Amino acid sequence: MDKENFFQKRLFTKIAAVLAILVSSFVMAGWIFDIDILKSVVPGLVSMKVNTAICFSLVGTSLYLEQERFRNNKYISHISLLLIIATVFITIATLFQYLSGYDLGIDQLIVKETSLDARTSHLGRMSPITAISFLFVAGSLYFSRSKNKYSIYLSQVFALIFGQIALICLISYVYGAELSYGISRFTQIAIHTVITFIFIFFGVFFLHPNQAIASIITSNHYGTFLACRLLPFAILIPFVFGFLRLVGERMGFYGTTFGITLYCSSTIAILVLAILWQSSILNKLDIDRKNKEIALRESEQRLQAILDNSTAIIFLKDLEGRFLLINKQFEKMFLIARQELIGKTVYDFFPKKLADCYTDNDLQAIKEGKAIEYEEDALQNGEEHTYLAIKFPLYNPQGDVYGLAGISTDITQRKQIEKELKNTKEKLEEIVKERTRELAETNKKLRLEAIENKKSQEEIKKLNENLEKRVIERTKQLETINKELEAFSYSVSHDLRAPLRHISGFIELLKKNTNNNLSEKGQHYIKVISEASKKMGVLIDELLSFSRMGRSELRNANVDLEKMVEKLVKSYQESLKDRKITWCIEKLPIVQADSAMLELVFNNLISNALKYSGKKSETKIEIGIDLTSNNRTEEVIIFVRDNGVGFDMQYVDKLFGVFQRLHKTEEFEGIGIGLANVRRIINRHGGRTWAESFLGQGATFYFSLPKNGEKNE
Amino acid sequence: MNKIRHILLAEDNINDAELTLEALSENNLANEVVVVSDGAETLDYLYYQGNYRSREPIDPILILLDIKMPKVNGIEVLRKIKSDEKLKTIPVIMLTSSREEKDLVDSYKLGVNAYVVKPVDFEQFLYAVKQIGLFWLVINQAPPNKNI
Repeated sequence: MDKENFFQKRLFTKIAAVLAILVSSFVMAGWIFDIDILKSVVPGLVSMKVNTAICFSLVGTSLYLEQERFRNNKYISHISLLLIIATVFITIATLFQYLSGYDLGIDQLIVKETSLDARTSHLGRMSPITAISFLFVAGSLYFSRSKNKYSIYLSQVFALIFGQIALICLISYVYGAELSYGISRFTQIAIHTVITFIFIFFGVFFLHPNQAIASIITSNHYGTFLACRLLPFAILIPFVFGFLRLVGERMGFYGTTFGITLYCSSTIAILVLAILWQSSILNKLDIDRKNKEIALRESEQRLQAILDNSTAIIFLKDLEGRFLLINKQFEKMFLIARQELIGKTVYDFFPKKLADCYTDNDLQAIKEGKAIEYEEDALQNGEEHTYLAIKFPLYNPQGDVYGLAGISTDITQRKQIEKELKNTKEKLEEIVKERTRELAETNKKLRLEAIENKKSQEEIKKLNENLEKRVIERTKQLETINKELEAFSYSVSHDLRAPLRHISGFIELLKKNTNNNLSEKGQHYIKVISEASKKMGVLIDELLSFSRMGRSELRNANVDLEKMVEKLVKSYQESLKDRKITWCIEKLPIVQADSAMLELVFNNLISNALKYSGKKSETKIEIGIDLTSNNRTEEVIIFVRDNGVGFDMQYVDKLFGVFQRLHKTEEFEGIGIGLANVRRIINRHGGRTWAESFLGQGATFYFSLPKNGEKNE
Repeated sequence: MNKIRHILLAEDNINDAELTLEALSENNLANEVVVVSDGAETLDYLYYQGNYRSREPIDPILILLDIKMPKVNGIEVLRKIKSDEKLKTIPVIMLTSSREEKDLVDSYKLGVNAYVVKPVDFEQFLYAVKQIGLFWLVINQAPPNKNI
């Protein structure tokens, strides 16, 4: 249990009260049952008288009730006062007896004392010192009842007085002093009376531990600290050293003067040491405190710096809304000095509407007992600003709310940005909506276009169908024309031939009949007619075969070109024994084609080559594949090259036409249908024909055949 | 008496007919040559119609048939002959200027006995006709004449 609680619970008082009642009870018992040890503790010593015991009971009970009185019970208070008054009566009566010599009969009233001892002047009468002490006790108790500061003071002074009396008596007992003068002629005070008084002293003195003189000992200030540490020395040292001096003197170690000298010097020494010791402790405490103060000031300055350098507005208010503290930002924002503001409320410099709002928020935060965020508006230089205010109640160490703190941050800009963001967002949303709508429209348009496309596709389809129909019609027409042409060529073949035959036949008959009687000129004419008719016959035959080539169906099969060419060359060699010819025939592929027609192609080309190189002393004919073609994967290109007279590239276009000749018949015989046939056949196979030459340097004839056997029919 | 049977030459062209007759004459054959100038006349002759209603009832030993003839062409005439039980045994030779495959094939399908294209060259023509006469009148055994 710490010191504070000890005093606050008035344990001294309780102990003293209980002890006084107990001692009183035992002593009464001792008197009633005549037990000496209870009356005087040590046999031979003076006994505690019955009235003394009664008074102890009275003041003990009163003391107990006095500390109970703090429960504000009226009856207890009254009873206590009655007990005090009773005590005063008894003591005053006793003192009156001593002073006047009258016996009021109060001493032997309850139990009769039968024999006088050495230290008792009157039978059963309490010692005058005891009576005086009880008077002071009663006074002290009485004055303690008032709430008046001086009354408490007086009460404690009374307590100190009877305490001092008790101390004298106690030390007298210890030192064995004989009080043989003055009051010592009267009944002396018993040892347990003295001790009980000392207890009662503590009980009464600390009845108000926080007031008057007692507070010096019970407070938590430095003085108390020092008092508590020095008082034991002040009490014990003189007592102990006095006792030692007395014992030494009695034992004859030294005389009175030296005894006092020893006593004084040692008391001084010990007390000085004690004071120095305690002072040094006090100094340390003081330094500590000062350091703490500095630290506190620093901490305060730090806090103030934090407060002042914060861009937020910070303030503390008391429960009435008066400003206790504000920071620099507050001053800056509202253009008001600290000194002016402290002690004022928001109503002093804000419009009522705003001030009401702030106060409502303050009260709510205090009520809730925790930090709450508010958005508060404020006028600042005539502009409206928005603050985010955090408000929270302030508690003192006892846990009671004593004020309110607020931290307000200007969020005007943030608000503005939020607003702008919101605007931007809305704008964006609008744009998105617009775009979405446009997109929908575009989609719609596209859909319409698609429908139109579909329509146009259908139209195209219709057109195509029409076209196809027309193509079919045209084809039919062409077929009809073809048939007509067929009929035409048929009749040509038949009808043109007949007159020729007739001419040639009758010429022969003419020759026979005239038996060569004709003149030379006549015979020449007949010869010319005969040859002309023969030539016409050849022409007609060739023309017919050309027309037939265009009409007859292709009979495709695998054709080994190399074998075909070899066979052809062999057939030629027989009739060309007298010519010097070099054949260069490369490896030729197998193709899909009409064998008879391709044979005609090679026949034409080879015979041409032979024909037009006939005038060279040495003929060279090359047949092979042209590998320089761009699309060799799709077609095969075959060439036939000679070293003959060649032709003028100027007329290359005419080369493949029907009856087109680049040489005179006199130079090279022929009717000009061979290459036309070649082109026709190759065209029907899906290929191309062309030629290259330089006059006098031979000619090269090319034809291509598609590899996939595609036909151009 | 075993009368020498005649040759029937169907030829619309007089020149051709003359040349053919000339050529046949070179064989020195005893057979008479009757010339008809178109298909209709040919059929009249064979069926004793028209101008030939009262002719001697003897079938020709050989019929030389041109294809391209007015009124009824040679192919039609051939079809009639070969589909007639009485006439189908008579050898029919197409003697024509046509080299057309169609004519050739059609003729053989209808049962022609020979198909000869008239050569343009007279020497060859002469040779061809002489050979026909030689083969069909001398070498070949003609079927018997049912009308006799």
